[in-house]
Parts: sequence; structure tokens; C-alpha cells
Amino acid sequence: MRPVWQNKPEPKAMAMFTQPLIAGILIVMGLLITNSLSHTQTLSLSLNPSSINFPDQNPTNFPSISASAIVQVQVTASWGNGTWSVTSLAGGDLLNSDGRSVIPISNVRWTASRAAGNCSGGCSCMGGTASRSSPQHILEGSGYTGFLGFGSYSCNVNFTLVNDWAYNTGSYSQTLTVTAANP
Amino acid sequence: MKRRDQVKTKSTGMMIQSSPHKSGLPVTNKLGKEDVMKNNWKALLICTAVVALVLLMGTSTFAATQTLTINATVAARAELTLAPTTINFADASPATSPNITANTPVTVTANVRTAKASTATLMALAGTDLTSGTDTIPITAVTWTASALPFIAGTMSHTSAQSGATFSAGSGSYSGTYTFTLANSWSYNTGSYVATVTYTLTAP
Repeated sequence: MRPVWQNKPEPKAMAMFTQPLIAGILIVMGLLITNSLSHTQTLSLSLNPSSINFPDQNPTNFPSISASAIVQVQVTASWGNGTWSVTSLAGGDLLNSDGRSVIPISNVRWTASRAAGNCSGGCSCMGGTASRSSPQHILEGSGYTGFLGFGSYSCNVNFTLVNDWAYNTGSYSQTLTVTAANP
Repeated sequence: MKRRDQVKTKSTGMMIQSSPHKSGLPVTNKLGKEDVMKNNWKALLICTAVVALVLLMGTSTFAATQTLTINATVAARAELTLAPTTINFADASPATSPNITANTPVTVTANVRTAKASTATLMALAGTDLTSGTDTIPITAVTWTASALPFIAGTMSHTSAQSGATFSAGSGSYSGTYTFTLANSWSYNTGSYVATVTYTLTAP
């Protein structure tokens, strides 16, 4: 009789070990597929910086003013194959600190380009014009970001302000709510 | 009791001990496999529960929001453009041409940025009368008309600045033309007369 440690595993014993493994893989795959089909993705969003400034410029020489910084919009989409988008909606026109003058928010515009990352179903950074009435798209994507949702996709967004002699003097401000969501 | 070997499984960390049959000791292999299988199933259930929990967590939040603050600064400034910057009154008989129109109208562009409640001003002040050597023609003989508001007509002076426009309050960009006229007179001595007028646009 050979020592036990020299015995080859019997087919029945092998099955006892591999059955749970195969079952586990099937269950996990089932959950992932179910999750994917239901489009229940987790989206996280970050903006950097979260504040930009348009300096004073002569409208004759600078018909368009570039913002003080490029805003990086970063999205992380978890596993899934659903479509999602990043939109912006202004709280109103740019409002003077004296509360008496405004600059139309539609004079704030942006161009956007890919900064880093990838999306399983493709991503597209989009230029646009700020609006206080309807959300405007900054980024459209599909699927997960990075490797199986562990990673992100980001756009560099260049904001500009249409310059105009009609603007009254003062300090203006407004907030732009940026939302990443499934449609 | 002396045992010859030990096998440590990676998956469970459970120690499986075995002995050769010839030693007469109990065989523990069969029992070890059952334990491993039970532990594998336990591990499978735990992993499944964790994966399910992670995936289900994704259903609770699938939107994210951030805010971007946009600031803009607008300072007071004024920009005035006149074109051309030189005009001429040709010689003409006072009998037939009591008023001489300048050779060209002057286009004026005024850009102002000021506070909403402030009003910009455009003033014209001649440096001297029209002068040719020791001879002079009163600068008040020069008048102008304007194409449209906010620019207004007026009479030149070298003693007090004359208003060239009546702006509404706040900022704006304006464009128009001035047409200059010289009142002709037999009393003017011959010569080439010159005067300079300074226009000042102010955005308070």
C-alpha cells in the first residue's frame, strides 16, 4: 500500500473541491450580469478646482475672457454597461454683488477635451453653453470607467466668458451645479 | 504518536495531518476533505454575500453632484475713438457760403463701463481759438451736429468743456458721427488756421 501523500486525488474528491468554486463563479457572474442589465451603476464626480474667476479685460482687445483655471471633471463609473452623462445647470445669471446687475449666464461657455482615463463603452467630452433653464452636457459616457469600474475618466474643461462693454462694473458670481447621472 | 507530514492548505489555513497506513494510525484524509469542502462552501457564501452587497450598494446611489462657483470682475474703463482725427474747412466766399462744412464727418465711438447707477460723460474742449500767426478766428465759430443720441450737437469753446453726448446710466457701447461747420465771415484774415480740440470720455 502506497503512503497517503502519494495517492492521486480521486475524481469524486476533486468534484467535492471544484463544485463550490464553479458554483461561486456562476453566482458572481450572474450577479454581475444582473447588475449590468439593470444599469444600476454608481457614479462619483469631482471637480478641480471648484471655483473659477474671469478677470477684468478690455472687451475691444479681449472679446472673450478665459477663466483663471482649467476645470478637471472626473467621473468614476462602477461596473455596468449603462449610459450616463455629466451635465451642468446654472443657478441663474451671473449676479453683481450689488444685486442690481447681471451678466447673462449664456455668455459663459466651455470647450472640453479628454484629460485621462477610459470608458468601456466610450466617453466623449463636450463643449457647451451654460444655461439656467436646461442642463447642458459636459461629458457623455457608457459602461464603466477604468478597469472594471476601478478607475476614472476625466475631461479638461476650458471656460470662457463673452466680454461686452455693456457689463456694469462690479463683482459677479453664480454657481453651476454639475451632476453625473444615468439618463 | 509520530506523524510524518503536514500539509497546510492556502484557502482555509486548516491543517491537514496524515499518517501512513503501515503505522496503524487512523487515516485522517477522508475527514480532511469533508472539512475543506464545508469551509469552501462557507467561503463561497461569504464571498457571494459580499459581492451581492457591493453590487446592491450600487443601486442606492447612481448620481453625484458637485458645484462650480463662477466669479467675474468688471472694472470701470472708457475707450474713445475719433476718426479721422483731422478735419479741414475749405476756403469759400462768405457771400455764397455763410457756413462751411468740414471736408468729412467724424465718426465717434464711445465704449464705457461704469456702475449701473453711474453716468459716463463726453466733453470737448478746444485748446485755443483757430490761430494763424497773430490772426485768430473765434473757436465758437465752429459748431457741430450729431447723427443721433446719445451724441448731441454743440458749439466749440476753449474756456469751458462742452458736452458731446448724454449717456444713459450704466455701461454701453455707442457709435455715431459729428459733422462740423465753420461760420464764415468777411472779417477773417487770410491764412491757415489751426486749433486742437480735446475730447474726454469719463466712466465714473
